[in-house]
Amino acid sequence: MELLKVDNLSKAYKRHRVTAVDGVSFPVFKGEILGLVGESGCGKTTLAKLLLRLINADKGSIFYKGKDLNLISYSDMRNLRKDLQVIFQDPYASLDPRMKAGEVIEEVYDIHKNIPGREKRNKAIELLETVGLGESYLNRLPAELSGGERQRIGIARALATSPEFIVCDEPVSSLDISIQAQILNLLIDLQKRKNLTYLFISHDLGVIGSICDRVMVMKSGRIVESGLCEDVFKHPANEYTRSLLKSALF
Amino acid sequence: MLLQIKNLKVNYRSGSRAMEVVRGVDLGIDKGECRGLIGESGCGKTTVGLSITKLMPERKGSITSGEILFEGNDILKMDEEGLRDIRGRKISYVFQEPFSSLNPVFTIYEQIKESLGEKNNADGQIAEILESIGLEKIIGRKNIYPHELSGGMQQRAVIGMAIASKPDLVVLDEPTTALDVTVQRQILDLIVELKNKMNLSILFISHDLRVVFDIADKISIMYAGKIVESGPKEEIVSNPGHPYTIGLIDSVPSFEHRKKLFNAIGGRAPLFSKLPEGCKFSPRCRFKIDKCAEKEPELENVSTGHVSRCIRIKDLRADGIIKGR
Repeated sequence: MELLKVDNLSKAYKRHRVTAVDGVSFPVFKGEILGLVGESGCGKTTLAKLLLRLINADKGSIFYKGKDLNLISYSDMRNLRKDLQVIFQDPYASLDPRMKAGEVIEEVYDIHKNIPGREKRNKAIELLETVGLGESYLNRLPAELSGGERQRIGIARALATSPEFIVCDEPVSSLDISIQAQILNLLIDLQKRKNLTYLFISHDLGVIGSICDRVMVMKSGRIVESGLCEDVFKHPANEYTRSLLKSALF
Repeated sequence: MLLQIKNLKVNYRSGSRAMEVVRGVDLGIDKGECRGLIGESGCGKTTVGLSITKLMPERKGSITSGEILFEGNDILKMDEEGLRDIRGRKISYVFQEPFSSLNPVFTIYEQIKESLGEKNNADGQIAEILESIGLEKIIGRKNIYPHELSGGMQQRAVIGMAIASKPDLVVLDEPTTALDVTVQRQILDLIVELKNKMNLSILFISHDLRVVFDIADKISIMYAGKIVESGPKEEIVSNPGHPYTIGLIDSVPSFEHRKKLFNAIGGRAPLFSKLPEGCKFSPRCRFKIDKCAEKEPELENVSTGHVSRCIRIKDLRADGIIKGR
């Protein structure tokens, strides 16, 4: 089933005279991990922001479960944000240094107002356990946490609204390799248990190859190749994909 | 042996307390050899690199014991004048962020010229350097500033400065970490080319196993301030001798490991203020036994030129547990 459909999406940053996303079209199927790989400046993160409507496109449409996100009202979009979540790259920048881990998660319920006060705490504890941390982390500040633990808080926050679709924007890129493997394990496990759909953005072909079902290769704002991981990794059709694979260290 | 680090110990001050972050490191580099030093953030690998020419800021840290023998002379016993002869001349550095290694208000040409020192025929030599780092077409025009170059080209320029004085040893600390994969490949190729051409010795410090496996001749793995395993690359890759190394290798994501959970190392690295008893890796080790917590193991031979700081490794290898994991 098509969960999300992107049609001819474009975004230009006029001041910098670049077309960051240039006429991109693709479907995202329910329950898949779709990889998006490309080098810095290729437009991966702009595409992610467009999908979440954190920024608006110049051209093109995004359909979520058949609904055109351009045409829905502000309050409907606010509701939809429960379904569409994001995990950011830098767990040092994406947490408020003054907010305790429990508050970070509880704040999500304040915004989406779907839970009475006392239950919030229980929900937060449950989520902390889901991401492998547990109740003892409720009152910890980001400064007291390691990079991996912070990223787990970021994941718990994304899960708080029980989303269907999560954009993972380089979620393991700033982590040490042993921690990276732990977080990848957590993301794989959550995806299976909750039948989540991920758009998984990474510059690292090893990471993409290890967890994605399908992959799209992006260069200068365009998708230059897409397909099943097996096909793209074993029989790359595009010259740029081949050069990426040749440069990758396995 | 060109460089020999013996029992290096470094303390960092934090407030009124001193913490030992390099707890007795031995490391040797032969002429023309690339030694990879792998470790995760905070393990002390960068401190080892900086210690080689006493580059640590005095107020932050101090070397408390050890010897650093360079061509037979102990660098730690040298005065400032002696150090000046070595720093940037016989031993030079390349760090992670090329832009912060370059001075934004001087042209690249001037900066390479400066690292040549006071020599005649600078133009001729600079042309040679620019050609060897693949920038002759771009910097041939003398008025190019750092911000006009891409990250990869900036790193080439920094490498050019590092090799300008024809050093014996270059310390490369995460030189490709900030770069894209295709650029990383080019820089690694450039390093190998220069190493072969100039018979350079290299200390290559990185957290990225894949990069170190690609470039190094010999590899040391560091954990919590000590080397836990050292040996020839082929040995370490195909027959690792320490549970930490094994955990790291099993954590490397790749297409071949598709859709399987990683056999990841649990927990996190200990804080230097709360190091565990005995083997510092034992709380995270999947092969741990009670005896591991009794006493920190010494480095012992597992095969020729291959040492490991693990009391169980010989048994584990003999039982085929490492290969059959």
